[in-house]
Amino acid sequence: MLSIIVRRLAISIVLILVVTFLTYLLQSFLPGDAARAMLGLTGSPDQYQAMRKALHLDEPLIVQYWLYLAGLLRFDLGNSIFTQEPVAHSLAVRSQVSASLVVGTTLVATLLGVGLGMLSVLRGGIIAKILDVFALIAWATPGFWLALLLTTAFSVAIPIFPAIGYIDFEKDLGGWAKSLVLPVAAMSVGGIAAIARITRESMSRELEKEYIRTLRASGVGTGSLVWKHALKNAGLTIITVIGLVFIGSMLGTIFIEQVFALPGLGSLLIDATRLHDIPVIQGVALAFTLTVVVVNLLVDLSYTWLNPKVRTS
Amino acid sequence: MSTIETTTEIVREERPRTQHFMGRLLRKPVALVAIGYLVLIIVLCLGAPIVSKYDPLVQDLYTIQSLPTGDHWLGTDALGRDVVSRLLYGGLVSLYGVGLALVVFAVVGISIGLLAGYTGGLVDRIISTTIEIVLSIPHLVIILAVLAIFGTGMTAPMITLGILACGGLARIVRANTVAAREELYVGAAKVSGLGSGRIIFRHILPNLTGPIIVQLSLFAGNALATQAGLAFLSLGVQPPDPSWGGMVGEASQVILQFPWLLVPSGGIIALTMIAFGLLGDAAREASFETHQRSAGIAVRHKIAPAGDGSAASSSGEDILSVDGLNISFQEAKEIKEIVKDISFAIRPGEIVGLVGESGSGKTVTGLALLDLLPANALVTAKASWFKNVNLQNPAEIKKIRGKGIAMIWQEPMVSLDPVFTVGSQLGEVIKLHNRQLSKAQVRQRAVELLKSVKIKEPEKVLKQFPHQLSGGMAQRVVIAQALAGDPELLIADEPTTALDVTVQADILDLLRDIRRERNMAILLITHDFGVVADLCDSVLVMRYGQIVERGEVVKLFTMPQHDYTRSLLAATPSLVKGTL
Amino acid sequence: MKETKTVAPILEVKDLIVEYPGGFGKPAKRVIDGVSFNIAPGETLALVGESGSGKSTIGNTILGLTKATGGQINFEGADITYLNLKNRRKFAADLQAIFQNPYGSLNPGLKIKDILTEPLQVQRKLSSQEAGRIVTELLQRVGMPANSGDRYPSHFSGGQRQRIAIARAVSVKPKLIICDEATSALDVSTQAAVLELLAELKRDFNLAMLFITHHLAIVRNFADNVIVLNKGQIVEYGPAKQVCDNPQDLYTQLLVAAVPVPDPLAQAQRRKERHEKLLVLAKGTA
Repeated sequence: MLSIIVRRLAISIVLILVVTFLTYLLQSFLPGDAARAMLGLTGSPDQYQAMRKALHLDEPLIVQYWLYLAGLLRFDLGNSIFTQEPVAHSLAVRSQVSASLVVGTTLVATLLGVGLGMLSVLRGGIIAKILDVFALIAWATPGFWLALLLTTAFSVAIPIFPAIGYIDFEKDLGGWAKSLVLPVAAMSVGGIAAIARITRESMSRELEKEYIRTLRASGVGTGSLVWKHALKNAGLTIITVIGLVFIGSMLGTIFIEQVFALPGLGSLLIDATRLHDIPVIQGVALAFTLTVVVVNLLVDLSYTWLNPKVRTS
Repeated sequence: MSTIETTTEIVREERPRTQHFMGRLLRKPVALVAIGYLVLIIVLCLGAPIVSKYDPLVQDLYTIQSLPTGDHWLGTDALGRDVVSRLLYGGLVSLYGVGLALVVFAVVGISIGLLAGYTGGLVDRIISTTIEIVLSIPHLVIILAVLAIFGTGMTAPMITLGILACGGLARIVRANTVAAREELYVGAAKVSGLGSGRIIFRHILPNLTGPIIVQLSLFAGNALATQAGLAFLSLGVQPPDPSWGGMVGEASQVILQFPWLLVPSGGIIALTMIAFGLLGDAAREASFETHQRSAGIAVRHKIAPAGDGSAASSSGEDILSVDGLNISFQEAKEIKEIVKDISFAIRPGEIVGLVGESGSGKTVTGLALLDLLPANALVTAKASWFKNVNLQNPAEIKKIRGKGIAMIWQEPMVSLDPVFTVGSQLGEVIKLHNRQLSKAQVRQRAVELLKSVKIKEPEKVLKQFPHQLSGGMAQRVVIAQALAGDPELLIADEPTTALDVTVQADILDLLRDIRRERNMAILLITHDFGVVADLCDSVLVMRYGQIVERGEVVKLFTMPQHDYTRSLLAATPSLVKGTL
Repeated sequence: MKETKTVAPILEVKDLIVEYPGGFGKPAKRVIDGVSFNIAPGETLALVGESGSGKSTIGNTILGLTKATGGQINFEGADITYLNLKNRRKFAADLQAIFQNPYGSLNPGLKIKDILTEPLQVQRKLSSQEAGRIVTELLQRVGMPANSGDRYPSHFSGGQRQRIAIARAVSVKPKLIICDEATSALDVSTQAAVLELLAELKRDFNLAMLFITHHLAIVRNFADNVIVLNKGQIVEYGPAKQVCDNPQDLYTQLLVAAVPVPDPLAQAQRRKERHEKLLVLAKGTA
């Protein structure tokens, strides 16, 4: 069990290095450099050289990367080329919105997904078929388009929810919840379908296994077979998919935050992309990667908790 | 002796794989529709200048925001441009992006997967770990970084997407290659002296077509979603150039005035994704043998009384009496008769052997008694009684499972729930049959049961998980669990077949002891006449769903009456007398 | 062991050792520990043992599907112990195999005639016409219907598939066939028929055979000599009838005693003897 955690940590460190290095490497392809971008057209050659030195742009790339990594350990992610704001600060400010969206989406997708999946396991037949169709359509519908359709329906045609904007939950809890309804709804449909489908598939697979037959022959009732034995065995697969839904919805915020004009990490990233603001892109990449690392770690931990083979090895 | 297995032996294969994967795929209507749609879209987009008389960029400010008309089949946008024309020209951009990503994904993914899977060893470990890392990269962020650097154009981001995602395909190819490498036919091919290239391209890759097509379809969908998303954000494709995602973006600008525009733009993305999804689903179905799976747990098959059901209980001293049992399975359109009109009875404490070869119906007979057959089984009987319990009534069978009749199977390892300890599952069954017991008493009873199946360290075994037990030990635990409800009849289906011969002898001894101590009857289902000779009092010989001979064990072995029994006995190899 | 000893053995295995790597910090697991034996032309040597005895590992090592850690394997006088699969190819025609699972050993995507012609074309460099003719003969020889060639493996039952696998193995006229639990997955009557076919082919082609099985009862009549394997080591090696009727080693004795015989009266007697032996053994260790 320990070896799995150690391996996961080792892989995580490599992952963080790979992502930071990739984003760092990319900027060397950028025509012009940060010093030029910051000074604009007005800077003199002397000022330019001084700025290059201040930003360590005169050093070899690998040294620059090393300095960047060293900065990371001090929570220094550099400054935005355009606003000069520290990237770490922008990330901190923006992450509340994205976290609300992603956690909300994952919760909704898990509850409804597992619920729907179990319903179709217990009822079978027509519900299972409907679920299949729903899963296909949900997968095929781009989140940003669904978001626009929902907006048309529930803020334009029937104005219940705000079409755009985010309200801080410390200021107005009800408003915060209301501002999240449409984006979370648009993002969670795909997750609900994915989780419901995997729940049904893995549960059906478990319920056909011989240990279930043996327990049934011993007199154990359907309730215990489904909710205790099969569900715990199927749990391994379901949790993996929940982890994927979490990561998927994190990436989904990139599109959804644009639709609803939410000031989260996703819109920060898009703005930075349009402005070629590399330090900010690096910062968001790092934040997203760290989230992936944590989610994977949690999934691994739940594995060891659910699977005795892992725990006892 | 070769008269037994004639060369025109009946084929009992349930799911014939008659053709190659593509043949099976193309026989599915869903796949044909999906492929047809995709081909149509590609042809229309390529032929856009011919198909559409409108230029996608030409504005017609007199007909802005028009709903579908005879001239403009899908209406016009906010600048009066023809939507159909923009969809077709825009489709080219989208399909180019998807195609590019798909080619990179397929080429890199398949080669890496084959390399890792076929080479194995260190190469495999390095590649697999690399894939794990690359797949964890939040690929959209990297794609945006690429866009930030290289500016517009779909080429760089879509190639990046293909590379970052191809690990998923590589993994599947690798897993299937490893499996194929371990498949015996590849071993057989190697032994035949075939070269690596020949093995890969003739024996491994063709059987991978299915999984690869599944992955390609799903990835094509994801690539389209990504491409459209980027275009929606005006990244990669710049207005006024048309693209599907970009058109959704344009529609979102006029969402208050003209929501119709959302329908064709997003609709074509969704439709195309559905086609990819359907193709993927069909490919998945075609690549796995589609065995009919009952989606629900509810096993509700009918045990219809075929006779008058006059007898009110098993007659006289018999503990179980079955009269005129028929079992058939509903498969597709035909009904297959598996067991035809068999009758037998078991006395208390008697060990009855039910012997037959595969397909004789011996296993389904055992399952039918406890109502454990799948939903497509049809069971009828003139009468079927366990003491005074009518076995034609599923509700009554429920009450005697584990209590009156218990059952054990061939594979002890998979008969135990892998995620619960022995103590937990044994305890659950004990508690079920003795609700008044306290926790400590349940534990006490569990220890006693394990002792009664001759497990030496019951306390330790209670804390163990199934995978920590040996096969023989696991079978003892399964037997202990079967004994938890003090059953009067144990149905044992090939209980020793999966075990080593010395372990088998011990388990047979155990069953004999249990019978003596508890006067428990046993219905022993087996193919092995040696096991029958060792344990049984009487024997039923089954063939093609019928009992061809029955009798007391010594008599049956010394004076077999039926030709089939004689030929089976002659075919059974013996350690003491020379038969072959 | 008849008069086979005077002829040069076709297969010599000397002090074979196979270890599986143990992984991080764990010692390697030795699964074959110093096994030596010879097979003469036309001889059938049975390799019996329980699960974990290493019997299949020995077969796979000879075939080059598992790597040897130590020792030597000579085939027709040439050392093939550490040859890679490529260099092994020149021996492939003489050394063939039949595996346990008749459902897994035939490529499900190929027709029977393609499965059978492939080794003929690759090994014996026959034209496709010539190979086709031989395939027809072979199918007839192993008792398959003439039209089987145009069908896929899924059309056939376990016994029939095993006949096809046998046809493939003998098609290249090998001198030694390794049968790894070749009849274990079959019904008794099918098993008997397949064993009879193997015995005929053995006679007709003067085939040597390494017959790996867990089924001691088959061995007595089918094999010339038998090796009893326990935890990777040979515990007994001798003529099959002698080992089955009068085992010398204690492990072999217990193994033989545990095999039930299809005769209730004789079996009751054997059971009694087994219990007495176990009782003595338990007293001995107490």
